[in-house]
Amino acid sequence: MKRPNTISRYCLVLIILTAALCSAANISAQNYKPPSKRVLAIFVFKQSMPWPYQLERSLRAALTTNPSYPIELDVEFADQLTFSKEDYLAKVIDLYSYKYKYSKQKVDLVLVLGDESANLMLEYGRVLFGDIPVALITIEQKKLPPALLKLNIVSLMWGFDLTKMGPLIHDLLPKTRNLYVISGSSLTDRKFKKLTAEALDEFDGPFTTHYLDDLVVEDIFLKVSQLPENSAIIFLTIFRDASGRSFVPRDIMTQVSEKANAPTFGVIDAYLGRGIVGGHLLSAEIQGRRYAEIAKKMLSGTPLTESIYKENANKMMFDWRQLKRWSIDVDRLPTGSIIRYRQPSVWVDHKWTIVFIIVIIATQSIALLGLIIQRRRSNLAKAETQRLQDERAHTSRVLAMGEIAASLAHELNQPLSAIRSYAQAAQRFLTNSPAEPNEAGKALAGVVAGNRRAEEVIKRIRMALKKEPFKRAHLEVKDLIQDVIVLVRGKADEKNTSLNIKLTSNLPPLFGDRIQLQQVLLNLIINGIEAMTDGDGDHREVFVQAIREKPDVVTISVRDSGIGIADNQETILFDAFYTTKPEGMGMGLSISRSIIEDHGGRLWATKNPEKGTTFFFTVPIIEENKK
Amino acid sequence: MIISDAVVFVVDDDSLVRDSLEQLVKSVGLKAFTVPSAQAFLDMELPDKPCCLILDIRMPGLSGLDLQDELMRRGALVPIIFITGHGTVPMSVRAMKAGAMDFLQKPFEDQELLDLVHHAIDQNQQAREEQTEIDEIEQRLRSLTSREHEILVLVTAGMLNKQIGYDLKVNENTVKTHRARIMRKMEVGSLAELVRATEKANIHFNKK
Repeated sequence: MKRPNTISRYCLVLIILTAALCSAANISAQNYKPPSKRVLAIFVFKQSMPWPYQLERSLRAALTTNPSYPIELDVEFADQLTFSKEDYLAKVIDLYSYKYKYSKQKVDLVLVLGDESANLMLEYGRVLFGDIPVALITIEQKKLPPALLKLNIVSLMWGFDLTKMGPLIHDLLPKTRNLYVISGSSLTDRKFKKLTAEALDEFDGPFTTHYLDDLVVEDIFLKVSQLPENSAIIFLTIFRDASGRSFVPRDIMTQVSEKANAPTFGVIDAYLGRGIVGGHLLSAEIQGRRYAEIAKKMLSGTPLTESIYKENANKMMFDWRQLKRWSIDVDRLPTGSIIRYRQPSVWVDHKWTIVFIIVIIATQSIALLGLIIQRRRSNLAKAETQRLQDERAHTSRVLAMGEIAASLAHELNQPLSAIRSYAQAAQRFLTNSPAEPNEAGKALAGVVAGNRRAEEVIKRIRMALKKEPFKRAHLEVKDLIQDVIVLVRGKADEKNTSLNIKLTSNLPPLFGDRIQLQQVLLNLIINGIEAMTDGDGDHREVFVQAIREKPDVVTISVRDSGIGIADNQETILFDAFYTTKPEGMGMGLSISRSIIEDHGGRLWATKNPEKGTTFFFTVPIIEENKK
Repeated sequence: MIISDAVVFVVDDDSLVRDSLEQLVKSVGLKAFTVPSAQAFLDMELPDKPCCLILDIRMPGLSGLDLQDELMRRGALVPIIFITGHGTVPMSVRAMKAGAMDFLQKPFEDQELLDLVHHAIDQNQQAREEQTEIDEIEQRLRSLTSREHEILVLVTAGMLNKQIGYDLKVNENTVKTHRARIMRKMEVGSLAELVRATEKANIHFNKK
């Protein structure tokens, strides 16, 4: 089960030292500018895979910074991992590229990366490139046939160092007992698995190693989600799976990592940040530089002493987020480990923003608290003001009722007198001979009616004297006025004043405090009546009118034909303690105005053109739907 | 004593008071007729029956006193009993001077009011009878010829037949004949009766 399986991967460099170079060196003229060298790299990969892309960039950068002579680099992506069939290769070679392209241009060195491409080169290299030096870079070192050894062909190995994988996992996750090695079905994949198996075998860890190779990726996804406890995954490469589909290995790795219920370790640095915890990772960048060195050496004819370059090609690298995900203690990492993607604590990253926000929040909180306290105070003050206002209104009401006491007496006298008449009539009907019980019954009904009316009067008086907090309700204008008329009718009689009312039809209900609005009317009507006692007044009238002047306002006016107000007194009328009445307190109008303003209305007075004064007040209408 | 076809009018704007007075009046067997305002009363045709008026002094529109004035102006013979919630002295003086029967302040004794009502009806009855008598005398007077009228004036002035004949330059027998006709036309049996009748008529005229 642990059969080594060389995963062939990348190719080698073929360098051709041309005759021109030799002759140029011999000339060695002072101002001689050496001709450029040309290196062709054949990658087994398809274009734009992440890791090879890094490698290519690094290689190109290292080659082109050659101080002694310019080196040009051509890269061909053979894409043999996707297309494995022989006929494809033949077409690639013959029709498409090398024979045509590179037979015309002089190439000085060919670098071949990947096991598949190396095999190709071993077979066709001579035909394609003749005696141009070739470097094969593979996972498994190639045994070069003796015929080729004469040529400038070298076989080198990738710089993977997989021997540290086992000890690393053991150190980081000592409880790990099952190791799952995931690889694909392509030649490179298989060689890679073989190399890994050899490396793992060297380490005498407490693991049982399982190889998830030659599977379709869906099976792999399913398996990794159901791994037993204390497992770890090593993801190598899957360029192709058992079904023959080709993939970008990194993408499959990412999915494996997401689905896995165990941490995933990787082999190349391109995996880092895409789901692996980390590992002893082969750096594309270092590999690129290494190949450039090989190329330069071969171009300059320096013999290669080593076929394997492992030193410093691999690095212990880890993904901080994955370490957190699998609760791996950072202290357990080998010294010199590189930790990437550390999510800096929010504090470190946004210290000043946080401080700023906290300051803002604190300031706002304080401001809010202040506002709340202020609001509470203001509410308390409002409540207190309302209470005082109610108190004042009540006092004023009691005084007003005192003023109309005689009127109230009259208002009670009427029903009482009627009751007496009814009662005596009833007595007579009963004592007459013959007795007239039917008539007596009618008279007694009158007694009841009279009684009811007296009660009504008393109820209104009691209501007016009641000390009640401000309470709004919907009020019919007609009722409002009628109730007050009942209270002041007697007073008007007494002062020989007629009280007349005119209401426009369809007045909407007002929304207000019944007692307080009635108090305003009471005040105004009493004022009107009293304003006229001083006048000679053969025609004494107080005229109360209610109209809907605007759609949202009812205006009630109280007009008298009395002495009127002096010029410029329209405003001071409403001041507290202003009075023209010898016995008056001067509170009535002032309180009336407060009451009306509480209702959102206005109270004012105007001089009549002919005689007397008219007081107006408005009460806003609150429509049904705004209730 | 009680004139059963007499009518008591109650004029008051307060329906409860109006109705209670109606009941009270009815309870002593009198006919009551209620009217809600002074103007409504003026608009009515009064029945040719003894009647009296219980009138609230204060009402919207025409007041009770206004109604009294108007009735006097029309020469209507309706005795008025004023009732009021709170009368003032000047008001009552004015009413009484204008010939009101009485001025009652609420609440009052029902008996007091009823007595006043009876009294008023009696008075009205008498006034009506007197008026009827005067009307008759006046009618008789109108039936006299101018010569007879001349002689009547002289007779009631206390002149003798002879003096009258001398004054009028007719003989005494002619005067006697006229005088007898006058006595017959005036439906009197004696000179004293004739004098009283003419005096009544004269008083009435003077009053007018």
